[in-house]
Amino acid sequence: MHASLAELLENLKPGLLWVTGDGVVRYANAVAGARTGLAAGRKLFDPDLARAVTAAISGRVPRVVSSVGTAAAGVGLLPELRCRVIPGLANDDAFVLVAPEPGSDEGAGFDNLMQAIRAEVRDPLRAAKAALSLVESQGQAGLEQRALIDNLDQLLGVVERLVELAGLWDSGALLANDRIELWPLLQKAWGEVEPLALQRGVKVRFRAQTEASGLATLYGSEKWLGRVFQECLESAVRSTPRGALLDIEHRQLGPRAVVAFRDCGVFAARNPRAGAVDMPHHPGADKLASARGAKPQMGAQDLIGFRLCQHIVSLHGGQLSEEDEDGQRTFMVELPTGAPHRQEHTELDIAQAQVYARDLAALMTRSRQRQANERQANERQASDRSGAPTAAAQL
Amino acid sequence: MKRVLIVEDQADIRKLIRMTLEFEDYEIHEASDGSFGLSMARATRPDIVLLDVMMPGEMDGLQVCQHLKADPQMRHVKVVLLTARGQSRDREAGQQAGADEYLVKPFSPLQLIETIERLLQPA
Repeated sequence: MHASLAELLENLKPGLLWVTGDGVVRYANAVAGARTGLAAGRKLFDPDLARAVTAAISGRVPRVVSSVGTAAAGVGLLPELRCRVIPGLANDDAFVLVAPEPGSDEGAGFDNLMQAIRAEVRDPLRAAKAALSLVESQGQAGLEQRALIDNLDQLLGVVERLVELAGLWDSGALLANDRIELWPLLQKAWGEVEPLALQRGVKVRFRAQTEASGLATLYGSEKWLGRVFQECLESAVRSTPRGALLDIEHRQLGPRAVVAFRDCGVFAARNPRAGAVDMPHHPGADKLASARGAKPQMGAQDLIGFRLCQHIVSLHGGQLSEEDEDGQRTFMVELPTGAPHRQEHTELDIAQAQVYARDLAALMTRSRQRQANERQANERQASDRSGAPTAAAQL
Repeated sequence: MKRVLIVEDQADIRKLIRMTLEFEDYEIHEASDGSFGLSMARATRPDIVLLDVMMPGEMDGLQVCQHLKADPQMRHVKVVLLTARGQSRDREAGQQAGADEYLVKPFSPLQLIETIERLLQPA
């Protein structure tokens, strides 16, 4: 695709899907990908939208249809999308302009909030933390002042987290295509959370259908997916009762991996099932456990993390959800494996075809030469066997 | 006749590779994902595998390569990784997985043929 056209399509405010007549997505810009969960190579899953595409192509007239977006835009609610389907440039394709339904701009308010936080809160936060450090360093606080300082410190921690997360919201860091091995990622997340688990007496085990070292690979931002797993694990450990068992379960469902952080309860901790392995112990975790305090309930810090984690997972083509069954919470992360969620197939296909066309003549010449050489070699062999001179030799 | 297995999820690229190989004298097999590619390799015993790195599914190309090279009956098979990822750390990952060669997309079909011929030359 021409570079200018690609940039134009990528920056369209409505999402854009370029779809073939059989419902396969040829191109999805970032906005469309985030709103619909679709990417190049995937098929439209909404039958109404697929029918509108077929109708627009055959009738060569635009169609408007409502569709359903991905859940990541709002916890538990699937946003309504307004899709305008227009005939494409060829006879067998169409463009779909994807916008949220009027009145349901579920992302715009939150985006504005993130922008305001990035712009307005960062510097005052820095000043507040410096002032608090100064007060603490003076060491003259009584019990009441101490409690106030602790509360303020906690509040600043939450605000700092909010600023950090707002900085991520529009960040290109999420568009990384690192190759990520899942087991080391989970181990790293566990390394951060183990002191808390020890502190709360929560036992954590890992279950998978295959060996841990052979899990399917992820592609994306290693830093932020690691953060997601750490946040989910930490939230799961915090919400699991003391002395209970938490399972990290991995299942591979075709091209997608599902990792569930499941509270199995206190009974399971005393009667563990076969097939699970304890998460490896990290040296020094015991010391950190005794040094840290443990919060029994999820606070604002956890809620902010969960919302962001959903956004990160959605941008990686996956879903993060939370289930509560009779007080036992499970966090489920589902992610595509083996290849990045967003692949630039179209440009690469075109480039590869161009290189092929460029070298086609040379390939044909090479093939003809090889065939001619083989023919000559065969003739020589035949003449050697029969003892008669070949036509070439005679000349 | 030497046997080539193409493991590539994108049908268009698979077709281009096949068209390239058809100019030469190869028996060609194809697979569209890593798991199927590994099964095909074990079933057809190719002389060389042209292996895409990023393929949606249970196994990406590097994992397929690792499995092949870890299998005593398959480790003699030559593996050429085909990928859009051309950074040095990606090449190192390919080397660590045991790949014999690494071509960055878009690759020249002439270079592909020459690479295959070089790898299949008797030692």
